[in-house]
Parts: sequence; C-alpha cells; structure tokens
Amino acid sequence: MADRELIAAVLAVGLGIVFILSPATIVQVHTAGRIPDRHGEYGADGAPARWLWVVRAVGAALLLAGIYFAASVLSLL
Amino acid sequence: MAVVGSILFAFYAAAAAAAMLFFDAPLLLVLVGSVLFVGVQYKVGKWAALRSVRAEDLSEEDAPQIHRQVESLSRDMGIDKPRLMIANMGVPNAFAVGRKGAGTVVVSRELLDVLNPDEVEGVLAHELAHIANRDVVMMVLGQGIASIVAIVAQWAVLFTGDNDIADFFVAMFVGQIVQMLVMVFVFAISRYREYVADADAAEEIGTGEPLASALEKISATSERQAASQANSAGRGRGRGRGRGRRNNDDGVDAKVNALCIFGMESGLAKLFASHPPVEKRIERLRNGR
Repeated sequence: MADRELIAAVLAVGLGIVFILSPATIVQVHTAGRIPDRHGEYGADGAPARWLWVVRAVGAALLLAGIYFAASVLSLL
Repeated sequence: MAVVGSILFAFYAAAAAAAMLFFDAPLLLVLVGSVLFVGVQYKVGKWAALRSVRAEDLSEEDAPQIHRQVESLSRDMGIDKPRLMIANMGVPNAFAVGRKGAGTVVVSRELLDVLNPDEVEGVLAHELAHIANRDVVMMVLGQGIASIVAIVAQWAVLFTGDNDIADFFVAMFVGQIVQMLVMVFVFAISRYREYVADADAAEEIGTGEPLASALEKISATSERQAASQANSAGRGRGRGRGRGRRNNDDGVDAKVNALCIFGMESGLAKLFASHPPVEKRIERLRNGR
C-alpha cells in the first residue's frame, strides 16, 4: 500500500503545517457549536494560549509522522 | 444563504448515503442516529458551556435594570424570558445558549464594568435575537453535520484499506480535512446570522447605535489590554510562577497573534471566523443596514 503511505505523508505534512501556523483555526473548528467563545472579546473569536500550544505540539507530531511515511515510501526505513 | 444551506444538506445526504452503503444501515437507523448524535451534542454543549465559565444566576435584586430590559426585549421578540447568568470571563463578553423557551444568556462581569446601560441593552438584544432566530441550535446542527460527515469519511477510508498503520493515519487526516471543509460553510452561515442578529437587535431597540458603541468600546479596550500585556510580557520575563507567569503567557499570546496578522493565520482566520469583522458590523449598525 505505497499509495496510502504516500497520501499519509502528504496529508500529515500539510495538516502539520496548518496546525503549527494557524492553531486558532483548528481550535475554532473543533469548538464552534460545542462551547461558546469565552476567550476572545465580545464579537470576536479567541482561544487560550495553552490550547494553541497543544495544537502546535500536535502539528509537530504530524510533521514527524509525515516524515516517517515519506521515508517508508522511499524505503529508507 | 439558501445555497450554503443546500451545500450543507448535500454533505449530510452524501454521508448518510455512504453510511447506508458501507455499513448496510437502514435509512431510519441513520436518521435516528444523526438526531441522537446532534441531540447529545446540544445537551452536553449547553451544560459544558455554563460549567466552563462557572456561571451563576444573576438575581433580580442584584441587577433589576438588566432583568427589566430582558423582559421587555423578550416580550417584543415573542420569546420566553431566558435565564440570566453572570460569570468572570476575564474579558468583556456575553453569549447565549439553548433555544426558544429554554434559553440562557450569560454576561461577564467585565462587560458590565465596561459598558453603560444602553450599550448593555444593545448586547442583550443581540443575544436574545440569537435565541429567537434559533442560531444556537443552527451552530450545534452545523457542527453535528461536520462531525458526522468526518466520521463517515474516516470509516470509508478504513473500509477501503488493508487496515495497516498508514490506513489509520490517512483516515484520521481525511476526517480532519473533511470536518474543516464542512465547517467553512457552517462559519459562512454563522457570519451571516451575526448580521441578522445585529439588524434584529437594532430594530427592537429602534437604533443600532448602542450595539455599535458597545462593539467599538470593547474592541478599543481589548486592543489597549493586548498592547499593555505585550509590553509587560517583555519586561516581566523570568519573574517565576503564579500571576506573573500568567500575564507572561497572555503577553506572549498577544505577541504571537500580532505576528500572525499577516500570512496564513489571517487568511484562514477569515475563512473560519464565526463573526464578521467588528468594523463592518459597526458600519452596518450605524448605516441602518
């Protein structure tokens, strides 16, 4: 299933970049409609600093996963 | 908005059809499962929202004017008077949860400190309009559809694979991407509903000025706080734990956000914003649109 590994590598790197560069977007996607926005001021979106760092950490893990799958495709592992 | 709503329904219909195809599930089971899924999200969401801010009931003795304003506005909007609650949120904020007949409006103490009574009435009218227009339920429904479509997409990937590690990861990534894609449409509806709630609030009060003034004041206060936090973070590095550390975190956050004004954060933030830009809302409220 080299196709799936290639797809996994591309998607992991792409998502990892989004998680690291735009963590507030990820928080917003998962919290909208579930919990009210109480971190930004009235009329704006916001997310606590700790949540943003957790999302960035997940993004870094996704990048590592992407590198792992890319290396598998290239038979380096 | 009809087009965006139709696209959302099409996403759900496609997910339901895929669930029936992959799991051989009858239509009734898919429909009942979807309603249960969204229903649980609604109930848990309302409970979690009030619990997360440790909201307390705002008694009539403590805030007689706010109760009078809400009573009058609710009567004019044709809804039952919602439960009124107050919380410390650290920022001037207010939100509504629930539905017509079982709504709750929460205001922060910081909001009441910053705004005058007319501006508070503007904010309350906006939140009551959300309840009257069933916007809270709409957002729960939108998030529910996004989650259902994402779960079906994940299982579709898993079902068509060999169950090796790459399949699990691809399923996870596809679920995440699909949820983000559906939420783009949910947020488009949300931004539109904000303008509608603004217009309804202005119509009930007779003018959009109190809400416009409230938004302007809160925005200016927030910018001043962010600037001062960023400055104190620069000066307060290495002071240790506790309050100093919290201020430091907030300051770093403000700096990071300031850095992200341009580039990816800004572009994606616009696409995934639940509210329209404050300046545009103020402009519309003052121009009576």
